[in-house]
Amino acid sequence: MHRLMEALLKRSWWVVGFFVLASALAGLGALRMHINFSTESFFPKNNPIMKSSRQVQETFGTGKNEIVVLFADDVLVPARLNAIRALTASLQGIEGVTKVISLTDAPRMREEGGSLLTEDLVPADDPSPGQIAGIKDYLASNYAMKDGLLAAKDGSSANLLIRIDPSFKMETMSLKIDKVVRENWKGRYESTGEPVLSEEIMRIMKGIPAMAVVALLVILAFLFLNFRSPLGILVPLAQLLVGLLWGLGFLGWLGIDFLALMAIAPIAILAVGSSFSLHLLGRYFLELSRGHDKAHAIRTMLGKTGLGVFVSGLAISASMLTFLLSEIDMIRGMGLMTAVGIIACMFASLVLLPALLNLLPAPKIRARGEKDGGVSLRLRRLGAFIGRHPKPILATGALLVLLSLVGIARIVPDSSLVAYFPKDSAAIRGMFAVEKAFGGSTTVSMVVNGDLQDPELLKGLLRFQEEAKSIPDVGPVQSLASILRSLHETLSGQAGMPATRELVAQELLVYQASGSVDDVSSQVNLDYSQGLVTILVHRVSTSETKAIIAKLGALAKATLGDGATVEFTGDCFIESILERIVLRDFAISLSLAVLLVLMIDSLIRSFRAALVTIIVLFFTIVLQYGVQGLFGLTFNMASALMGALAIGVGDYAIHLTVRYMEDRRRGLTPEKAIEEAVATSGRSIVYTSFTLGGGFAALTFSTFVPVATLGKLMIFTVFAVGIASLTILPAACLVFLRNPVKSRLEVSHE
Amino acid sequence: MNSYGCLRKSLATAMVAATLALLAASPLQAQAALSGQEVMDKVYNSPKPKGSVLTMAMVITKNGKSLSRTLTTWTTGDVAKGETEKTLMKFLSPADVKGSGFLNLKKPDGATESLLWLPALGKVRRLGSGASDQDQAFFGSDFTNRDINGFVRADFAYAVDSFAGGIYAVTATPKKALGYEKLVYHVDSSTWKYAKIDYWRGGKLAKSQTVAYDKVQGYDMPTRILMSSASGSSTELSFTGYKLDQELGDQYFTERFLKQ
Repeated sequence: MHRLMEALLKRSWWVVGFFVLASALAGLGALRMHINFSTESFFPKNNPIMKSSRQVQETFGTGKNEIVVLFADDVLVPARLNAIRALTASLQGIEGVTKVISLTDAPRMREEGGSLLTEDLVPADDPSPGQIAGIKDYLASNYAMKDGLLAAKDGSSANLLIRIDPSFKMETMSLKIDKVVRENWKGRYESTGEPVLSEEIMRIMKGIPAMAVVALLVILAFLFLNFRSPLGILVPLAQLLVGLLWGLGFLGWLGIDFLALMAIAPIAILAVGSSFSLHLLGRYFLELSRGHDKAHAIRTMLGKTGLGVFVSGLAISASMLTFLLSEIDMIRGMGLMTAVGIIACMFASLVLLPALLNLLPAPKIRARGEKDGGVSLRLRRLGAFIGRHPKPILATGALLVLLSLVGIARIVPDSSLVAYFPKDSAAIRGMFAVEKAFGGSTTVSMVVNGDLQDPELLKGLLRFQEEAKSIPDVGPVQSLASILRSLHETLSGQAGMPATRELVAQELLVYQASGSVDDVSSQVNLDYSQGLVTILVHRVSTSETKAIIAKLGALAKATLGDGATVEFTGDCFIESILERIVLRDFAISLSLAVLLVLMIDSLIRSFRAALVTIIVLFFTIVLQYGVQGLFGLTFNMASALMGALAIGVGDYAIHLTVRYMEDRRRGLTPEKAIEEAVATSGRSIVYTSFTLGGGFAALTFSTFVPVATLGKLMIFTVFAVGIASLTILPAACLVFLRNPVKSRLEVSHE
Repeated sequence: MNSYGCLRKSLATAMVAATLALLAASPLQAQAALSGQEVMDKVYNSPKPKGSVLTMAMVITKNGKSLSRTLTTWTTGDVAKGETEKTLMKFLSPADVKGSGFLNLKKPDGATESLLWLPALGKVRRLGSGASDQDQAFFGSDFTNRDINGFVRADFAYAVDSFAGGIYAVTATPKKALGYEKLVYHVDSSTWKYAKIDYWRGGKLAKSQTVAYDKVQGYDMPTRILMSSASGSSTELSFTGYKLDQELGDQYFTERFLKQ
């Protein structure tokens, strides 16, 4: 290792050249990266429930939908109906739109002069008052329409359901649809659906570069405050850019899309990577202040601090790589990018940083006496205090843990998409407006497996539809039963459902005579063995959604009997099972992170030191989630990442433990050793906390709620780790590590 | 040989070569010289039976599931000749739709009368005609009513795209809104029947129809028609019974016969 270090230092220009070339290559990879705004990336792609959902989409051609609600004083007047007709036609003309269902082209079957007429509900422009009266009457009386599916009962709004080919980009479709609606409708309108959410994600992700710049500037500012030298900014800047570029480039060359939650990765890379520079440069400047020359300072920096940085980098990367076990693409991507970026930062800090220091002139550092500066003096006093009162400090820590457990018990998980966007965003505003007008803004799809030509089953299905509407937060329900109900009434003149199998089949023949294969198979498959029930629901929390689905399941059992089985799917249902996946990912990533960090630290340093440090980190995590519960912050995908992130990020605390153990082996008393460790390592811990905290603070500017919440909680976490490292950890060392055994390798830290 | 003699010899050789080339090319040249309109005139004018009774099986397939029906159709008349087009369809299977029927009478002036008979309902319903009837799907299949009834020759402008291997590719561009942007016919010049039609909508291929023929009572009749849609569904019509050149009197196109 020593020979390698010398060889690299002799060839500093080659080293710099290598990093420039490699970073350029990585930059090309980063440019190849495709940003994916789809909400599908929030869901586990290969989960059996997702596969089932895709199969249902294929069978029934449900595709992706956008709902647009048009508001007016009265939509059932000629001018407005003409505008709706023109808008419907324009929307149909957008490439990617497969179908538009609106008031003006909804089919209507009616009797006139003994003939059964099939026509458009609004047959022509400028309908007469008589025709409008007929339309109103039909909307109020027709079984399939009377729940306000196409227009509000008071005429204050009209709804358009726009089906979109899933192979088209949803955010682009949302923009196109919005443009067409603005051009054709003079008045207020609101929209919701996956395309609208994708557009919102696109808007949010445009802010990521600015966030990264803010993080970088804050980190560099803290580094300058610490080192008071341009070198303290320039050299870390180079190292951080390497980490960022290589992280992005690696994913770009692998063809992995950049997804919403991966916004955390660049900030985490910058924050964690800066701590490597902090430790290494801290040692470098210390050696210069002792009067040593540049070459000696670099060798001592690498020899004494390099291994610690290497181990920290490994430990943090390992905890990030635990996210690769997640079922969710964006969590896996976030973990991989962060791990690669941190390894790149570590590599750059151990190879590029020394090379740059070797090439650049050494800063003039005033020789420092043995007397502590202001921060170190205060830390020394803290260390002395802890030395006198370790047990009360530990008891305080235990009390905080107990309080935190109360907070943890209050945590409410919520993986619903609505919780991810600000309440004042266009997507959420539109969602609430559509819910009010339409009766729901998202759907639960219930697939009925049975004989869909059995009159008894169809009667049960109709009963299900009627009774489902009385469940809170459930809106209109559509199925083959409602279509047959309307058709039977028109054909026979009698309310109710067809009573015999033959009549069901023959009335379905009439239904099929007016629709294409896709129209027919949108409600039932071709051999009538599966039917789709579309249930419109309000967007509520995942726990409330689970309750709704449980009630719908019980109602289905009661109304359909043994003649059919049901399965639930749809975005709403998938969000409710996402919670289970997120909790599972949280448990796995946290456990694995603890284990991996423990193993890595134990192999290089000491098991006992690693264990004591991990206990302290665990304390911080409990505190972190306790705060989340006490402040009513919901547990979601991003907060599930915090555990493993905190373990990885907080690993720098072990520097204090190791310093204590070294001083104990030098013969200092436990209390004196702790005082030294807090005074010396503590300074790095303080500046690392500020640097990390400053970096993560940039996340709070994100309009993506989980990322902003994560940013706030990570600020709390890094400072909690810092405070715990300077209080709980020294106290724990005094109680549990009074007589440490010889470590495998000695590592010297500030 | 003097120079004048050489020149004469060269000229003669060239003329023979040119004549041979022209003779060799002439059948192709003559064929390729047909315009799109001429090709389609031959298609439309190819012999067709006057009245017919056809039995067919219709199988609609999508996502691995299929729906099968068999039906018999009685057809007679040609609106282009000033006659009333009469079509009666009766379903033979499956059992739950057996006996259901549709009767359609289209007069030369365009007026249409349609009757629907559902045995389970026990009454005949008169259906009103809508402007978009022809563009509606034929019993939930990939065919539209217009695909089944046939297009009107005069509604399109025709142009030959290519002629190779005896097959004309003719693009038919509608002169009015007919639900498609264009149709591309692939016409076999030996029989003047189209083997394939591609239907285009919105710049994309929406569906394709392929037809197999056989000689029945001297006519080239379709035995199998397959319509494949870009959305993944397909509908196959297989003809299993032919009674051609039938004198189908008015008694076949009445409410009474519909209910039998």
